[in-house]
Amino acid sequence: MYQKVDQKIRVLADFYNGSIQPRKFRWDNKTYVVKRVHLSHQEREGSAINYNFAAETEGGIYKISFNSESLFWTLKEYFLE
Amino acid sequence: MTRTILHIDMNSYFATVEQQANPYLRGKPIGVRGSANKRTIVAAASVEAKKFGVKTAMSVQEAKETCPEIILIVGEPRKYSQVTKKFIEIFERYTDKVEIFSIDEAFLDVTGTMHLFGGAKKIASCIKNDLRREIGPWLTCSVGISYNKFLAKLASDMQKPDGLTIITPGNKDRILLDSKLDDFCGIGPKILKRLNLLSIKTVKELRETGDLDLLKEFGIYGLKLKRMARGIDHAQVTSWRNQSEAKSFGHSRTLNKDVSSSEELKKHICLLSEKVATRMRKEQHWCQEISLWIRLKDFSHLAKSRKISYWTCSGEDIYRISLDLLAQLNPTEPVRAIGVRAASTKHARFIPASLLPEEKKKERLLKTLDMINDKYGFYAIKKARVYDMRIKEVVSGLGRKKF
Repeated sequence: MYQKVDQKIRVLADFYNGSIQPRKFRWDNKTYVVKRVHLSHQEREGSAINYNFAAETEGGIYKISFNSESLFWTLKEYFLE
Repeated sequence: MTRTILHIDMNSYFATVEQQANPYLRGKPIGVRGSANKRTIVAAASVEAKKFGVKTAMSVQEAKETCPEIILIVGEPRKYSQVTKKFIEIFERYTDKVEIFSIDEAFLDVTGTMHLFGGAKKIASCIKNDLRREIGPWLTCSVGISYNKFLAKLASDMQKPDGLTIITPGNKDRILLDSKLDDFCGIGPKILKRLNLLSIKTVKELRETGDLDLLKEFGIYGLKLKRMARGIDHAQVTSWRNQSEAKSFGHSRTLNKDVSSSEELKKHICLLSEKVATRMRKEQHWCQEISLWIRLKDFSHLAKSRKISYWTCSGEDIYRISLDLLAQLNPTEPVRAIGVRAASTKHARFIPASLLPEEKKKERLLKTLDMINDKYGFYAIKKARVYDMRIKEVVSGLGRKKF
């Protein structure tokens, strides 16, 4: 089920050729390896843009977001089967 | 010259986008609901949920009764709007004539470009592949190909999901005569009922009905209905980039609970007025007509509108006029839903600038407020009257055919 989180997280990502690919993130003292991003979309928040990713890791889908102005990564919510 | 039109319909759109984002939802009955509001409806049901009988616009309660296993997800309009933007980019690789019919449907006129890609069927298959590769493998669409928009739309509805149907002059009559009247885009439950009252129950009967009878019942639309029955449609595909500007701007909300208090109703009206005005200013429009509608507890509908002698794009003006309209409507039952609309609009470039200093001051104030909200986020600054209300951001494009 979905669980809202909204916490800042540490992310290892590739910024390449105008796109962002999150590879790993650390949350709650655990490292999650991103197996695949299933959907990405952007949304404006004031003058900033949030880049949202539906990232699959072992056993769950995590919605993580990168804010272009604050440069923070946030874990918005996760879904565990 | 015979035209070649494609109609592309994304299958169970919002639900499919959610299944694309979350593979654990794939193959399961899911529904995308409007909000956490108990009274919300299912805005889209997945293919799996539809098999259980869940339909678009069903209440959440009804959907749960129809399919107890249904997984309901609160929709994210901005996500769908972004995906729409992506698929329109894909469509525009094959023609510059792309008309956005709704957030999940578009017409493409490929008459002048199909020779570059190996024909219309090849374009349809390339689009399907591009969608899978660039947006996601779960996203499918049904494509209808024909020589006019009406038949292309009818064709795309014939095979779902992931279909491809072609209607040619050769198979047109067979397909039309096998269709039900309400398969036609433009014949909804109300028109169907009126047709049935004229003893018109099949496409054949519609074809055979005299023009005068149809004109008497439906006016000029009656002749359009007859043209539909014959598969005639001369409407052009208008690129969304050239589509005319909005003629009206409206916002509405279904309230969490029925509201009797006029103070609370005023708050909702204030919020809706601000949303309408913000969107008008964003699109540089001014209006000269304000409408207010309310749906009461018993689902009856009341509406009132007023023409004004001046042009405005101010939320305060819209609010003030809407309050007058509310007083005239004087609802005696609790209110279930409420909406504000601004009509008779014009682009700012056609409105003579006011020379009155107080008007200029007001314009500067609105401009500054818009700049603050633009920089710090939607309603970073808002009226004290609505400070405690939850405000959803206006998603540009949903319902405006602009992305």
